[in-house]
Parts: sequence; structure tokens; C-alpha cells
Amino acid sequence: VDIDDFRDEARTWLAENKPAEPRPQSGQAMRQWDCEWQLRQYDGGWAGLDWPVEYGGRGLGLLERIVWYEEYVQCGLRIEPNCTVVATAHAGPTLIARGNDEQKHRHLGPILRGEQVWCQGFSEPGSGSDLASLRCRGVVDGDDLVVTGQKVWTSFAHVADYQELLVRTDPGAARHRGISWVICDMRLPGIDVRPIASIDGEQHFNEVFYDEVRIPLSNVVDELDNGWSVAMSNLAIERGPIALEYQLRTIRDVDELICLARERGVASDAGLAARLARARAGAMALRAMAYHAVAMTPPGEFAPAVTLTARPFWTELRQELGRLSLDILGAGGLELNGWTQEWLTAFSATIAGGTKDIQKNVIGERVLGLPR
Amino acid sequence: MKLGLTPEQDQIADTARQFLASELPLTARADGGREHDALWRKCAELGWFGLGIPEAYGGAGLGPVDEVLLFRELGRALAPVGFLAAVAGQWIAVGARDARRQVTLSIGGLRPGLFVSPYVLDAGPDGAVVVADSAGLALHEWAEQVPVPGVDPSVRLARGRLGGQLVRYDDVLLPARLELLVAAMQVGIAEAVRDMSVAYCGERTQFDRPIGAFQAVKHRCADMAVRAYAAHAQLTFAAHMAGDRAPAAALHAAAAVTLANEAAMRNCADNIQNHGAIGFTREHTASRYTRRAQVLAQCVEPTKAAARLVHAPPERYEAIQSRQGDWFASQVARREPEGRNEMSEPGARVRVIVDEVKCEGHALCLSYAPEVFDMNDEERAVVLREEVGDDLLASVENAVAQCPVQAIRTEGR
Repeated sequence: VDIDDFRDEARTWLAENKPAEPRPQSGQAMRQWDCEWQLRQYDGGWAGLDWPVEYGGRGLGLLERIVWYEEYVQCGLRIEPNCTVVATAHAGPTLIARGNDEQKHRHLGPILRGEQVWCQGFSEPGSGSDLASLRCRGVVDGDDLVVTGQKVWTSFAHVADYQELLVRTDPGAARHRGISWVICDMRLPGIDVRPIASIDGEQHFNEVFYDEVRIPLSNVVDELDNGWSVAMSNLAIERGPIALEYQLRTIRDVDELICLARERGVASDAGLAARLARARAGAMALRAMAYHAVAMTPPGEFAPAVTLTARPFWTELRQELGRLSLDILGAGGLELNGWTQEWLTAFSATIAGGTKDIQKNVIGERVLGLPR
Repeated sequence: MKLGLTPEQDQIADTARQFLASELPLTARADGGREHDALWRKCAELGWFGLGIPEAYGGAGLGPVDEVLLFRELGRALAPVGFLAAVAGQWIAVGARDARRQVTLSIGGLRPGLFVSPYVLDAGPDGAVVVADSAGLALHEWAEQVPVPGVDPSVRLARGRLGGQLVRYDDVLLPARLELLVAAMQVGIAEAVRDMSVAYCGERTQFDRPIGAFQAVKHRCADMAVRAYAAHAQLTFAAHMAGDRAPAAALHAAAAVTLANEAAMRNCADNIQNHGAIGFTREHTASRYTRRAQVLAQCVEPTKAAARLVHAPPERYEAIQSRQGDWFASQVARREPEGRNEMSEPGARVRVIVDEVKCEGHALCLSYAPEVFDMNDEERAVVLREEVGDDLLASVENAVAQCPVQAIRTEGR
């Protein structure tokens, strides 16, 4: 694919097809909007850009993905945690890498068409950064795995059809050896989803309780007790290309912040101008780092060392944008609006997908080679 | 625009690094700048001041990407800041078709200083200075020089009076290219002090542990790596934009110099902290880098770069292609595996090696070759049997191929 043609094609299609209605903030209306938009992208040939053709994707690379999201952002759409994201960015790629033919057949097509919403059942009350300490139990009984325990911070569990669920199936084994990765149907009896309101007022978070939930053993992905390695391939995806898309959005966020400063008549305040300038430079560097990731990445792979190094830069910039918006708004920051909400949402940036503390350990040890 | 480096561009950096290591070692640096005369001539002979000058003028006919590669090395080596003006002076002369002056500049016969109002940095005896404004660059006379003690004794600092204009060339891209050279020197410093810190924190022991094992220190080093990486990414991107004369080139240069100044200044401060009291001593390299970063940070007026960043309209993206390869390959201190031994006998046993530093505990190897790999308590892969024969070779090769961080290698086949 010629990349210039690809960009033109994306720009034209987005101009004609981007959703006219604003995205509802919560509940089934949000789910419906997200799923319909996913289906429209699929029909237009824009879903699964880097998925293999045999699974309904286009078999393209990271560069096309970046160009697509650049155009996506430029046409005014926001890239945000969408209830189709876990399916398209985590569950799908994990099943492609580790699922069996039956599992692929049952889920991959529907995921691309926006027919299945997924959530991720990893974190537990006692297992955050130390994920391998998880305790939610899965006991083999006949052809079923009987699951009892709790997950928490599960985004979109309340609207999800399926869950990527990590359970401990061999408590006697070493921590990382006795875990299984299983496809959990969220409509099974014994599952109780309770919403948790987050700091920004959103209702995406949930805690999920499992009371002897019977999941067919055929839903185990890869081998029983081999779920740690399946989950790690999934985390590698989460820390890698998916983050690039959010990073590309930052340029637009800064442009909007500069507009806000002009509207409020504070753009020429020397202190604010210096911070806005630094923010824009940082957002531009995020794009440069995305292209660097492309240049460093052989087709079909991604470069964890460089994407890991970009991540703290992005998450800290995002939080600085929140603080900047408050300083621009002054007393206007008393209102709950898009700006103040984003200021609050940005607190998740240095926690979700691995805290910044863990990630700086990883950079120090794995990228720089400092001792543990 | 095409991202990525050609082999020739890689060579520019390699050659410069080798030359600077032997001719300008960091350990043998005296203050005052005068001793650089011989170095200056040698660098002129190497063509370093004419990388971006058309071949018709005796230059190398290259562009901003190549210049930036060189100046990153010059920054790392604490080479004279006067080199900035030497290159900029030639751009002006070529643009203004002043062949006579250009030749003089290219051989180091005229050594202009760099004007940072109201000072001049590294002015030569000829009394000429390079002055940047928003429209272009100019060469001016410089009168009544009065030396002033500077924060960096290896840079000659003087006050004086700006005299008449000798020659100027208006091209908005020229000040941007000068900013890129400054940014490149700052990136070189930001990376050099990052590497200094990583090396020192890996060796220096307190409480019976290398200090780099303590998270407070480790995270500071990680922050240094993040800043250097971001600045370098933006610098390289901006240099490609300038090489293509893209409409947003000046905006990208402003972003590069903003991030590079911040990376250099903050990394230098962190580097002193990582070194403790020794980093506070005057002759220590940590101290030299810090004072040099401050000089370079003043070479581009921060408020002007900021104004450009705040006032430029949103950028319309253009096509960018990527040349596959090791674009800024050296930006992270990665440990590359040694090459395989191609000469070994067929049928021999194969040695399996896990790079503990690269391993991130993904544990994919366990699923492909559970007989060969296990995880230790720190969730890093360990090798259960160091040598495998034909029976396990296929699964080990699968593990090698599937490892997301390329931490496994084999030897002996």
C-alpha cells in the first residue's frame, strides 16, 4: 500500500463516515454507539488494520496504523477508552497469537464487526502491580472450570459479553506456573458485576464477583496453567502499539488547550506561554517517537524498549495538560466540564497498564541495564 | 519525507566519534578555548563546517540530518560552541553568493563568534559575529570586545558593540537550522550524562549494593533516559522536516530545541546528584557538561521558540515514509547479542542463553520449550539445560523467535 494513497483514502473516508452524533457517556447507549462505529469502520475496511487477512484484517503494519489514527484525530474524533478497545486491541490479538481454531472462529469476526464487547479480568484487590500473586480460583470439575473469587477495576464489565479472565488453577505450583487464561462469558450464572464510580464521575469501573461460575474447559486459551505467558503477550500489546494511538491524540489536546488560553486571554502570559510551548513540543515529540517506533520495528513486531521509554513521557505530559487547563481556567475550573473531567481522568495515566513506578524500574533495568 | 538513516549517515557519526575521542578527549580539557586552534583546522580539513554546503561551493552537499548527527557528537565531546557560528557563517555566505568569504570561512580563516545579546560566544580575533533573527542570519562586525568571566570557562565570553552588517541571507529556515545544531549539541550532552550516570550507578557501591539498585536512583536514571529519548526523537524528526523544507520545519525545530535544552539541563542536574560530591568538583566531567548546557540553552532565546510553538496553527500532516532500520540506533544503551557462530558442525549440540537484562518475564519461552526454560523468583526466564540437541532444537528456535524482547539466543549451530 502506498502510504500517501492510504492517507488520502483514510482522510476521505473519515470525512464522509465519521459519526454525526456525539458519543453517549455511559450505559447501553454508549455501548451501542461504540459498536455501531466499530461496524461502520469494519464495513469501510478500517477495522483490524494490522490483523492478518485470514482473520478479517488488512494485514498492514504499524505505519498504516499510525497514519490512520493521525487522520482519525485530525478529523475531530477523539481516541478514548471505548468499550470495543479491549476486544480489538487485547482479546483479538491474544486469540490470534494463542487461541485455537475454534476460539478464533467464534470470536475474531464478531470482534472486528463490533458484535462482542470484552473486558479484562486481571487485577484483584490484593494483586495490582504484583499481578502474579492473583488468587481468584479455578477448579477443574469434569468438563468445566469452576471459578470463585473477585476481580476489580474492570473497565466496561457492566456492558461486556466476554472477559479475558486470569484464574489460579494450580495453587501448589510456582506463582507464574499455576495461572490459566480463560474466556469467560459474562452472562453465566454466578457472576455479579457491581459498578464503581471513578474520580472523574465516570461509571466504567466495576468489581466482578464469581461464585462457582462454571466455564467450559474448552474456553481455556492455550494450555491449562499456562495463562501467565498468554497474559504477558497481552500486556506486551497493551504497553506497545495501543499506547501510540493515545499518544497521537495529545497533539490535538494541546491545540485545543492553546485555543482555550486564547479565548480566556491568557495565551500571552509568559509563564503559561512557556508551559504551553513545552506541552506542544512534548506532544510533537510523542509523534516523533511513534514514527521512531515504526522505524525500529520489523514488520509484524514491535519494539518494546522504545515504546516503554516513550510511555512515562506521555503519561506525565498528559497530567501536566490537566494542571495547565486548571491554571488557564482559574475559577472556571470550579465547573465540571470536559477540561476538569480530563484533569481528573488523567490521574489514571500513571496507574493503568502498569504504574509509572513499575515502568521506571523496567526502563532502569531492561533498557539501561541497571542492577535489580 | 523519508525517516531513517543511510549507511553513509551512520558513518558520519562513527567517524566523528572516533576522531573526537582521540583528538578531544574529555579528560584532557583546558579552559580558555585558545588551545583549540589546531583542532579547529583539523575539523575544517575534515569538512565538518561544510557538511550542508553545496558541492559547487566545496561542501559535502548534505543536509540537516547529517549536520545534526555531527553536532550531536560534538555536543557529547564538549567541542567548541564556536563551531556553530563556523557552520552558520558558511550558510550565510553561500546564500548571499559571497564565494570569497565562504572559502575563508570553510578553512577556518575567518572565525566568527555567536551573538547572544549582549554577549558574543567564542569570538575569534577577526571581530565578526553571526546574528540570528526571525527572517534569516547575518554576519556582523563586532567592536570593542571586553572579555567577561563566563559560567563555562571553556567558552570565551565577551561583551561589546554590534557593528555594521557584513553580509546577510534571508531564509526563515536558516535560524531553524541553527536551532537544530544547538539542539543536537544539547541532545549529545543529555545522552552523555545519561550514560555517565548509568555507568557510575552500576559501579558505585554503598550499603553493599550498587546505588543503581536503589529505586530513587534508578528512577532518576530512567527519567534521564526518557528525556534524552524524547528530545532525540523530536530532533531527528525536525531535521528530516528541515531537509525537506517542509512548511512546519521551523515549528519542529522550536520543539526540538525546547526539549533538548530541558533534557540537557535537567539531565546534567540529575547527573551531579547521582555522582554525589565528586560531581560537584570543578574539573569533573559532570560539572563541565552542566556549565556547557547552560551556555547552549541561551543560544536560542527561549521566549522566541515558545512564541512560535504557541502561535503556529495546528499542523497539517504530510506523508512520512519510514526507512526500515536503525533510526537512532544508539538512543538506548541496549546490549546487542553476539552473532551466531556460523562455522560449527552440523548435528552439534546448541547452547541456549537468556539475556537477563532483556528478559521481561513474558514467559512465552516456557510454553514453547518447557523442558528448557523456567522462571525464577524474580519472574525472569532461566535456562534449565544449557545445551540442547536435535530433539529440542525446533522448540528452542520457536522460543527464540517468539520472545517479544529478543532475550534468548543460541550458539553453536
